[in-house]
Formats: sequence, structure tokens, C-alpha cells
Amino acid sequence: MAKMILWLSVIWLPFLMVYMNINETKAKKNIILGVTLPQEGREDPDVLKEVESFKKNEWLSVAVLTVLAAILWFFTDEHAYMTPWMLWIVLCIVVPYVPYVLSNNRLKKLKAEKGWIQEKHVVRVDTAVLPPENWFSPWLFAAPVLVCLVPVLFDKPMAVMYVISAVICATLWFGYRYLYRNKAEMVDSNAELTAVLTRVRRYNWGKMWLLTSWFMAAFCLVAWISGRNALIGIILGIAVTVLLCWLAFRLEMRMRHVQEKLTEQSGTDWYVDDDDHWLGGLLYYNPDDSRLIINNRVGLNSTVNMARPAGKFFIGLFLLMILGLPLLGGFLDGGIAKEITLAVEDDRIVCTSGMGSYKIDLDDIQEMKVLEELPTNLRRSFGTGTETLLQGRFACDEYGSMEVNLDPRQGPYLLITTEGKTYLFGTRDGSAVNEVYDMYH
Amino acid sequence: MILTFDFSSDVPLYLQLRNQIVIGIAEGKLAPGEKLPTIRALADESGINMMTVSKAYQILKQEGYIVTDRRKGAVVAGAPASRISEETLRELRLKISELRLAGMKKEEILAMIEKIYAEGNK
Repeated sequence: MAKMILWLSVIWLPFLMVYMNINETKAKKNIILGVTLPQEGREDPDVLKEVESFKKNEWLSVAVLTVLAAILWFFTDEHAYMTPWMLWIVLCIVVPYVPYVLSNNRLKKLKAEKGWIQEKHVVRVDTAVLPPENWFSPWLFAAPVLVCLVPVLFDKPMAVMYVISAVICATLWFGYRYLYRNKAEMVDSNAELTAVLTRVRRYNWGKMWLLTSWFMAAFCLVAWISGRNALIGIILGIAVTVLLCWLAFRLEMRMRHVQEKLTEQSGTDWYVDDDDHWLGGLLYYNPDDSRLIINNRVGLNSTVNMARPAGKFFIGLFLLMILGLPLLGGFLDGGIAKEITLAVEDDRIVCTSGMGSYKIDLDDIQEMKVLEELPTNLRRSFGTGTETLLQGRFACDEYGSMEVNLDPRQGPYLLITTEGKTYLFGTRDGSAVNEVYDMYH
Repeated sequence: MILTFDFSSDVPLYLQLRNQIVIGIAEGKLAPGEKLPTIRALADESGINMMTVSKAYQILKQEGYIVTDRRKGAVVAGAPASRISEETLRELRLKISELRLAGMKKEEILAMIEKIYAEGNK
């Protein structure tokens, strides 16, 4: 089941990546595949040939990744599938960019051969169309924060999850405010065009962050409302996530469409060309630019200036995260599959799984009992929840919030109550539970 | 008004900014009372360090081309009341000498100056 959910959540990834990349073959702000070209360049036979070759290579990468996904589906173990799938996700992120970078370099050479190079190391600023310095009020983000916190009043055992969501929701305002470079979207000397493009981008940028904050609020409401039914919770959770992804995707594509339509006639006279600062059309490197946060040339996103030390750090961190995904998969596979031990050691009850360890002094225990079945409506608020391991902070109707470390397939389970805390432990074969219970009594 | 910054030029960026604003005021592209971009906005826009923009504004203020106001920020002051500085005259002398050495006659130099002056009045 978990393998199927993972497969369904990632199988569309290569198609999305390639769709986004192929969309960059349509000129936006005079840029095709990360290369700024004049109007005549858009119809140049050599450019068109390169674009066609790029499209073929992109679809080829989709075919390879899909075949690989099919192989993984049939040949991975039901309980140790994370590492190969994480590796596949990394390939989905990296492979479609290989043809992109190659075509970008070929187009740059073609541009130089055809003499389409504009002035280098020159920056122009139109003082008439500088973007406004007013931003959405943080209070606009306060409403979803409050919505995140409402369920705390009614669902105390899951309070940690709602509070974490509210904190994330509040930090989104900082993302909105500081992950955007307040710069005019200058394409050519047309001041009106610059003003419109800047306004549209600023508006949609704010909309995206507000949307994400309301997504967090909706997620909390879903968790609260569906608290008594795990299946409804999963369905509603997936529905909300899919909706957010769809809206974010639509926003990005709309932004690109606007940029494409508004700049259709540009590139005949002077136009902005900073290709020299974009390595492979993807990474921004400009030692002359003192700013760290850079707006992507096409679409809505931001990136960092790799010429700044912090830029190098963030790109390095991002690469580490991407390349570390297979290692994370291995860690999760290993941790989840590891034996769960439960024993009395040095006047303490010790329960250890691959994902966490708990130690309780025998003197602190107020009550201990054995449960043959898991409590009804056991919900995770923080931790690991798979078919073979539940570990972390959970909540249920009967006992409220509790620390859990067990295999849900095999009872019995040991319920321990100390002052202010409840624990639920179990092992892979259920054997140690009664032994520890007898030893304690 | 479009400001141009050439990062490969030997002229320092603060001086490039200062010179363009002076030319802008002289040619009427920046009218007296007109607000200049804030230091932050101009730095964000051009990628130039805020200190560099601030330095240019300070020089312009000292020379009397702009005035700064707590509420309005930097505003064009128009032509400064002060006389032409010795340095400006020295620079003019140097440029005229360079043009003479380049083989230009007095009439040609005057015609060129008239042309540039007329462009500023458009």
C-alpha cells in the first residue's frame, strides 16, 4: 500500500519536469531555453532546428525514466523500496536538465556566430518604473495562522501538529517578503511593458505565498475534521495537496503565458541580455551583483546569486539535499526494518527501534497494562507511520497524546503511564511485552 | 530617465551614477523637485552596493544638485547656486586640449559643443 502511494505520488514527476522544460522553447522576455535572442532569432532555421532536437531529447528522457520506474515497480521489495525510488526521484530532477544545458550551450554558440550579442557588463535602470516598496501586510497571513490554531481548542492531543503548522504559516510571510528581489522586470526600453510585467509578477508572487498559507490552514482543518476516520483523513489530505500543487502549477504557467504574450513584439531594438550571468541558463553567477536573492528570468520563482558566499552555501545545501535523497531512503529503509527491542535494563524499561529509543525509570511508572489490540483511532502528530513501524508522538481518543514505538501488525502492546506522559510499546513478534509486564509486577 | 552602469569601465560606479544624474538635470530629464529613487531601490535594481549609491547621493548633495528630506528622500534641486568649481574648469581645459591634440580646429570644437548643448535642450 505504502509503495503504491509513493509510486502514485511521484510517477508524474518526469512528465512535469519535461513539460516545464519544453515550455521554455516558447520565447518569453526574448529568452528561449535560457538564451536571449533578438526577434529575428526566433524564426532562424538553426535555432528552430536546435529547439526541435531539444524537444526530442526531452521526450527521450521521459521514456527512459518511465521504463526505469516500471522496472523499479516490479523489482523492488515491498519493505525496502525507498532507496531505489529516492534515486529515481534524483534522476527525474537531474536527467531532463541534461538536454537543457546542452541545448543552452549550443544556442549560446549559435548566438555568438550570428552576431546577436548585446553589450556586456552593462546594467540599465529605468528610474520611471521602479517597483513600489509596499508589500502585503503580515496581517493578511494572520488569518490562516489563526485557522491553524482553532483545532487546538478541540483536539488537544494533536496540539503540537497544529502549533507547528501555525508557526510554518507565520514564517511564510517572511518567505514572501525576503525571498523576492524587488526589481523591475525590464525587457527592453518600453517603460509601460516593464511596469506591467513587474506588477503582474509582484501580485502573483504574493498570491502564491498567501495560497500556501491557506493550504496549511486547510490541512489543519482536514486533520481535525477527519480525526475520527483515518481513511477520510488520507483522502482529504491528498485532495488538499493535489489542489495546492495544481494551483501553484497554474500560477507559474499563467505567469509564463503573460510573459510570453506581452513580450511577443520585443527584441527588435535594444533589449536586456544578461545571458553571461546564467551558467547553463540555470544558475546565476554575477560578481558585480551585490544581491543574494535573484528573480528567475522566466516564471515566478527565485534563485540565488552563486557569486555570493551565501549563494554558494545555499546551492551546495540544495545539491546535498537532492543527492542525499537516496541516502535518506537507505536510512529510512534500514530504520523502519530494524528489530524493535523491549527490555528491563538497570531499573529502566528500554524500548528501541531503528527510528527512536525510549527509557523510562521503573520508579516513575504509575500504571502499566497490556493491550491486545491497538487503541482505536490512533493518529500520528509527529514521527514515523508505516505499515511495519509506528514511532513518535501519536494521539488516540481513549488515552490522548502518547509516545509510540511499535509494529502495528503484531500485538500485544505495553501501555505505560508516568506522571504527565503515556507510552505505547510493542515488538515485532509481541514476545517481550508479557515478559516485561511480568517482570515489573 | 534610464541610468546605465558599465561594470567593465574604469570609471567608478558612484561616479557613473553622479555624472548621469548631473547630465540628466542639465538636459532636463530630471526636473527640479523630482524625486530620485531611494538608495535601496536603486541598489536592488542595479545590483550595486547600497554604500556605493549612498556615496553618489552624498556627493550630489554636497555639490548642491540634490537635497535630501526625511520624508521625501532625495529630490532634484536643480542647478546649484555655487559658482563653477576650479576642478570643472581644469577638466574642461584638459578636454579641450585633448581635442586640439586630436587635430580638431576651434570651429569644429565649438560646433560640437553647440550640438551637445542643443541635444540637452530637447
